[in-house]
Amino acid sequence: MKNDRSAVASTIAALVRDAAPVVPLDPPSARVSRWALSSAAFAVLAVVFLGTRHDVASQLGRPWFAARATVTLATAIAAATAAVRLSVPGLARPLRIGAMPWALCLGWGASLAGGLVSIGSPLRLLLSASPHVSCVVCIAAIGLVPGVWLVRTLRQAEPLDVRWTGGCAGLASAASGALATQFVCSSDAPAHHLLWHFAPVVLLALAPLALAPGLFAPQGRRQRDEMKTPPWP
Amino acid sequence: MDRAQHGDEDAYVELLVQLTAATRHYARARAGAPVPWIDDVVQETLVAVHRARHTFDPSRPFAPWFYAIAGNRFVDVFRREHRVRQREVGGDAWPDWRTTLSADASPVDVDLVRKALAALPPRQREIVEAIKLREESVRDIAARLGLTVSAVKVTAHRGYRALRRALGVDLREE
Repeated sequence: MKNDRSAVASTIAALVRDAAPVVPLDPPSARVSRWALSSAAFAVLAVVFLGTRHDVASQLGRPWFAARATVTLATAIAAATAAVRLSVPGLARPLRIGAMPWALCLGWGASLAGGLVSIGSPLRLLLSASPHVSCVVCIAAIGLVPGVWLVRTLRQAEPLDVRWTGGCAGLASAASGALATQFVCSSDAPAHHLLWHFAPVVLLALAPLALAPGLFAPQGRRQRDEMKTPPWP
Repeated sequence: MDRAQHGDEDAYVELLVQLTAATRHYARARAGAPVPWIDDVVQETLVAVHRARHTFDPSRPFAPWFYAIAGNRFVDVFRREHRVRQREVGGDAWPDWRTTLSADASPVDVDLVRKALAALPPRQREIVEAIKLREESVRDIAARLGLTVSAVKVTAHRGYRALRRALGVDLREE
């Protein structure tokens, strides 16, 4: 017992030697706002580069188009907010704050499914929908840059629930890509959006779950091990 | 914590000492029984607090921030200890090749064991010899080498595995 306590005392001594004044993180709202503004700027540039759909001006006034864009935007912002808050210990409970963006995402999917059902023969419509891999590529490519920026923002903090944080970050990035793609893709069919916009967003959002432990934890674990026990010869 | 963030060393030492006691108390309460890895939890929590100190907002309460870290480290250490216990051989079933090798064992066999021991990495050899030849307790070895008890056990397990491979025999007692 005495020797375990001397190991703790050694750890305290090592930590105090390593302690330098730190610059506290900005509040989550500031970090999310910075990410949202820079991501929006990038998305606008991407849409201009790829070319907007020919009827974007008339579509903006249509309720269905505006509602879809609003839900996608809300999903991206809610997911980024959840990820940033989860990156600060003790600020939020994962289930409580992580549920909102996923609920919005599922709501988006449900509204598309509802639109499909209202047309009739949903299964036939889904099976007959032509493949649009270009939409998936567009969503992934446009969402990649905001994703990298968000991961950098999160790594400046100390996420404890790395999978929830990574999942929310993935959802925020993918939803950003989907929002921008809506202004490029000229198809409004619910089947198309369900298969080639919504489903890829969900898959792209779940993919970071496997990467999250490596993205957010490796440096911390190595530093913890170095500070905890003496180096082996 | 606010003063520690600004580089006040005395404040930081005082904080870490208080957090040591708080973490120990918290870990004991959560474990529900005396466990040998409490100080692993303490050390990991202190290091995690050190690494995350820039994320603390002085305008918010300290306890939720600290206990989120402590809880996370507790679960991590608990899972790791559980994995180690599942992997390694229990203390009373550790191989004892001194009894497995019969009295009239050929000198070549003993030489083989010595050579296999000598071929181990220095730390593994030291720990295996301390446990099996000098019959030191794991706790004493850990104290002498400045390691945690779990680190000694894991190293011993790796040493036994390397010896089994080198000797090509099953050294478990029948």
